[in-house]
Amino acid sequence: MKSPRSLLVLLASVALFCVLAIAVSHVRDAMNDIRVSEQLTDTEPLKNAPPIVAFTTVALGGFRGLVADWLWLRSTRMQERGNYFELVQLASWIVKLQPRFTGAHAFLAWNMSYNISVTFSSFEDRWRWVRRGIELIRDEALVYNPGDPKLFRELGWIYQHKLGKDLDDANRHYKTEMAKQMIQLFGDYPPDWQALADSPHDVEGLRETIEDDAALWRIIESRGQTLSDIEDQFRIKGELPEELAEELEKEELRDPLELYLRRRWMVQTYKLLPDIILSVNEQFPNLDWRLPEAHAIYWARRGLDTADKEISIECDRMIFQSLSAAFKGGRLVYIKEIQHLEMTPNTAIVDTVDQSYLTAIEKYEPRVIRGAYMNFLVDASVVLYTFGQKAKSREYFKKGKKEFPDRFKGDVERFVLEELAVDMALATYNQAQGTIQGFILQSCHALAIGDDDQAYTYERMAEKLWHKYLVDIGESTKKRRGLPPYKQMKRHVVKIETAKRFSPGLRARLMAALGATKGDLRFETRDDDETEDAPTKE
Amino acid sequence: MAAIIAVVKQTIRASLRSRIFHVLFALILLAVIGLPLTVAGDGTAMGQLQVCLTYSLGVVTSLISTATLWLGCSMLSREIEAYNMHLVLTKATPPWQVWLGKFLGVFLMNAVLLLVGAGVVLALVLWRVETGRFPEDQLAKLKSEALVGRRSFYPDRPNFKKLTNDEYDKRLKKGTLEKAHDKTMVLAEILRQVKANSTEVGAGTAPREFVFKNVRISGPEESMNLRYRFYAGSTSNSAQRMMEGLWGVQDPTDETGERVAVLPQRVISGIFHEITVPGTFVDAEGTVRVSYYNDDPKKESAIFQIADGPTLLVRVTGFVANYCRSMVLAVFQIAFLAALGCTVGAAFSTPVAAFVGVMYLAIGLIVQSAIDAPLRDDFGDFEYKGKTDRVLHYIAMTVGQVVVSVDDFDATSDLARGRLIETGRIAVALFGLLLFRSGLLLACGMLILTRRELGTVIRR
Repeated sequence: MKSPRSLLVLLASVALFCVLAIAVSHVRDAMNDIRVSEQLTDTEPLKNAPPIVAFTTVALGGFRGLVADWLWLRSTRMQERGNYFELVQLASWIVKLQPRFTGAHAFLAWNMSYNISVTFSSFEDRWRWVRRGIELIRDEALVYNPGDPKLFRELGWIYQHKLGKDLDDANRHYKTEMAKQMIQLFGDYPPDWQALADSPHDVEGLRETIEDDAALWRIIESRGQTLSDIEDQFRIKGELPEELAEELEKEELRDPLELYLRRRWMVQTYKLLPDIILSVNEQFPNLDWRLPEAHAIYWARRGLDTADKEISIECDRMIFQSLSAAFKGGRLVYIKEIQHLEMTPNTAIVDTVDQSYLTAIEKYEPRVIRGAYMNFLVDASVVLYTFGQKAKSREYFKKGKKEFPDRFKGDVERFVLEELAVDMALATYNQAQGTIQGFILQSCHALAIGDDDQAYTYERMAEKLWHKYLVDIGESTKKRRGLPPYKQMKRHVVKIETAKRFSPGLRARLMAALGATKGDLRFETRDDDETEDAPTKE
Repeated sequence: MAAIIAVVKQTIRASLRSRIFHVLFALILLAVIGLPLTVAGDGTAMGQLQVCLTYSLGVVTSLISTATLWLGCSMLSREIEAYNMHLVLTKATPPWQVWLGKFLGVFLMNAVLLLVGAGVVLALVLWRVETGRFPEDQLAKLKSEALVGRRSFYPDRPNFKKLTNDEYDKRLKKGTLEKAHDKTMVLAEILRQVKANSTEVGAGTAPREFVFKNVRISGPEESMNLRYRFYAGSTSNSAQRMMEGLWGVQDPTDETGERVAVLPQRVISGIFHEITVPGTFVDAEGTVRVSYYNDDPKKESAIFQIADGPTLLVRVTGFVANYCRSMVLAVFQIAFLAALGCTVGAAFSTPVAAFVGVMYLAIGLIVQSAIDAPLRDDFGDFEYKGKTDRVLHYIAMTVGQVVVSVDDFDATSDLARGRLIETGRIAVALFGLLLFRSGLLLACGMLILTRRELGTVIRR
């Protein structure tokens, strides 16, 4: 016989159980939905998982979620305290414990690339953290979730936004460091993409490709090394040791070996599949793979293969936005001095960008994309004109006029000048002077790299802007806001600004190109090179 | 003595036969060898060392601590339950000697295990850093900032109470206060203003001076590091950005006090930075005067939180010596856990003893968290939400004075950051934590075993 007290406890327990059961029943469905949508339940066995991940997912069972939570909390605490050294390891463990939770992987990568990187003053430190974010998705999360479109999109976003845009003070450093890596990876640019795609990916394939492979092994063994050692050495600088390269060259083995090593490096480290690069190049020719935009397009393209509608739109958007960015600054000017690399517009891809916009307008809601398309047409008209491609510029201006007659008015020359001179009349003395000097400096740069047509166009634009500014401000404010004579401005830029901004090598090239007319930046071959020093308002 | 040595030997033999100890030993081996070789830092030499030390030492110490507590709990209680103890106590061996023998056996075995494990971890961590192909500048930074034992010196903290009273008197004399003012409230407000002024360096205003006294340095050729952090405008994380300013260090050889070595800085706010200060800037009395001039182009104040220093770091010893100091603390932790385990093992059956032992440690950790839980203001003072909050915090602090927390012995984070584990800290741990507070446990354990009626134990 139970005592009344025990009975009371029993009843209270039953009542508590009922309350809790009802409460749980209300949240159970929502929780189950979250488990499915966030892929927290491993209904299918993991593919490509290393033993440690397979072991932890099975051995820890439901507890791995708790362990991952604890690691997550620790990582947040460490970040708040500024102890960043653990975060890479903690992120890696979280990914291993919850290999299907791609939302968490994307967040961790974004956190490292965006939040942690900017807490450092040094650009080298920032770049390291941006890389860690890229590596977390590329080398870990995508291994456990091959083909996950969200991860492809996130990876593409880091390339497009963090590396490609200029929102971070260190963005030029990122671009330089990435270009350095790619120059090492690809060797002479552009590489033979088809040859890379056709090259073998394992030793057996290499043996089959090379007719007399005994010579290769003899040379490698004579150095007391293995192919794996050679591969490690190759990945330090992107080239074979000099002596080895010479020996291989004699036997005509250098090219096949280098192709083999480059292909493996691309696939194993950077996860760049040559076949997909070929297909991207076919669809979007003339991309510069040393710059982030091409990589953003590559990852977005991979995302498109498996994406649902929502992600698909985002990937498409990433592609045409990156193409547009590549048009404006997606060509690397690299004169064997990687620290002084320059990005210039990649005018060769203008038709590709145009086509990508048209396809996107056809495929999706045209309203938003049309706005971006109009901006692209403006950019295309102006950039092509300033880069000496006047015929192409007229073509795009005509397109613009047809599609957006309110925006594109008059003739192309006037339109381009108006676009460049927007706000010039409102500009302060310093702003106007800076803009004109910028064009002269661009002209010097183009001249130094041997692009005479472009140099000429820049110089003409500088002069026209100078002229327009003085006309716009009028006689009354000329004393207060007037600019120095145009010739004097040119001399200043050539003598002073190029000395400050150009590397010694680049400046020497400029001086050689300028020849006897140093300082004036004259182009004797042109007839219309006269300058007015004192224009008046008509 | 012979009896104690016999019990020690018997305890070690019995420990080596324990299956749970075998499992823990296997995990310890795995951690000692596996962790230093597998954990990855942020890609820098410093990160590599810090993450290897934090995880390897942390896991090894935790596993050995668990083994110690388990063996302490089980050794005595099992022998009591198996009636072996009845046989031992019929000999001319007093219970306190049996207890002490058990304690020493568990302690010595695990301490040796810890020291061997720590030696292997040290060798592997250093080897991994050495073979990590890190750039020279990173290795130099590692040697000067982490592979050392650096003593921290803090600047003189203003006497807020005096400054507040002076300001109050000044306002009273000036007549700026109303006659019927609430003195407590006014003083509180003045204190807040005085504290705020002491942390803020306005843009373009006079430099803020920080005076470090009694700085001891081995010689003028030795250099020091000034570690600092300031915030831009407010301590909000989202407000942080690049700021510009000048650090000045007063030349002690200049009698006018006007000659200052200046170092311009453009750094991101909100995180710690270090600059090197030559040892020649320490004067004969051991004083170093540094100042910061805020040259922020956006004209925002630089906020130096009192808890952030700045701190002057002076190299006192090398890394290995500092490592050994941290191991001394870890050995104290093992001694404490052995004492705790043997005490509860003398009083309860094995499962209950293990439960009570773990609960004691849990209370220690919870109390530690409760002590740190209330928010602190920019000056490091606690901010209570109400009276209950304050009372509970005082209770936690009181319990914290009685209960020993294993956190008190953990010096891994200091070691990884190159901070000197001070002799004073070791002395406090030895006398305050080990001899006094753990000594009480030790005495309790002996007393319990002496007074316990072993005949009432039901044989399993």
